[in-house]
Amino acid sequence: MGDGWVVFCYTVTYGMIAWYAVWLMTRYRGLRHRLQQSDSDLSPSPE
Amino acid sequence: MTQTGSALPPPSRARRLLEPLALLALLAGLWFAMTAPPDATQGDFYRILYIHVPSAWLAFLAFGVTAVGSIGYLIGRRRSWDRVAAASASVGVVFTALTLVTGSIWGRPVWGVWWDFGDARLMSTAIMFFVYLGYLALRRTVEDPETRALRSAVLGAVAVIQVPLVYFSVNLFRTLHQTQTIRPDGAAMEPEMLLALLVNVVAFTVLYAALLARRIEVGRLEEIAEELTPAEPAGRAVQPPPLGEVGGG
Repeated sequence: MGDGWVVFCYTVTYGMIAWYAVWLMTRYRGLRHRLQQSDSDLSPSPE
Repeated sequence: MTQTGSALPPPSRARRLLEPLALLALLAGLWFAMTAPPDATQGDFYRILYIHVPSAWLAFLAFGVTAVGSIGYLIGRRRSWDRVAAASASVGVVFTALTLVTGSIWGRPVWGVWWDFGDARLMSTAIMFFVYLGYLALRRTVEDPETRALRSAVLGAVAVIQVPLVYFSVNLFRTLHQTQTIRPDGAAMEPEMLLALLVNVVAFTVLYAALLARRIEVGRLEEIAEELTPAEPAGRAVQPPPLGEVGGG
């Protein structure tokens, strides 16, 4: 009887943790990419 | 000096191992939680304890670290302290939300209600959640980094008073929520159940370390991006038209 509630609770918990971890990774990669782009914009051209 | 993306040092080997380690620890915790014997009175419902208690522990730990970072900033005025405080508050808010959600799901079949507004533990945890949500909101409203760090450090150092209040609320007010599972005088549970709980507490603590390290890195990148991008003047979208255009002239 308790199985459904337990499965629901664990799904919500691990789902929230996964959501936060993915959000952090996406933000990290996005910012890193943006800063590397601005890096290449700032570097002098070979000409 | 403005630092850019390529100037950031790569993460250390220990740092890179933290995330896979957290994943393995969570899987081990899940296995222990599912193979522990059922409870005599609650049956399988009690298994929610293996995620509810570690989430609550992490919320306390995270806000404790926020207070340490805040006090560190107030003493030394180093941005690294502020970064640790902010990152830990962000992780702490997620785990406080998880504590509230898992507690509510557990409460429905066991107590018969999702929420009890008269319960001291539930209400004090909810207040703590909103205060730290306010801490994160405060950080977004102040543009100047030094002012932002100072204001949030004061709040972070003061708000931690809620941690012992939430923890001892079940002793101070005898309401619906049960007293602490693990107390200084021992644990009120079977050794196999206690082992499963401790494995999950350790697993969640490793997870906290991994998330905190990643959040600190994101915070560092946000600061660099902020330095590179000139701040937009506030309210630009609602600026009035030039006087010559008013009245169709």
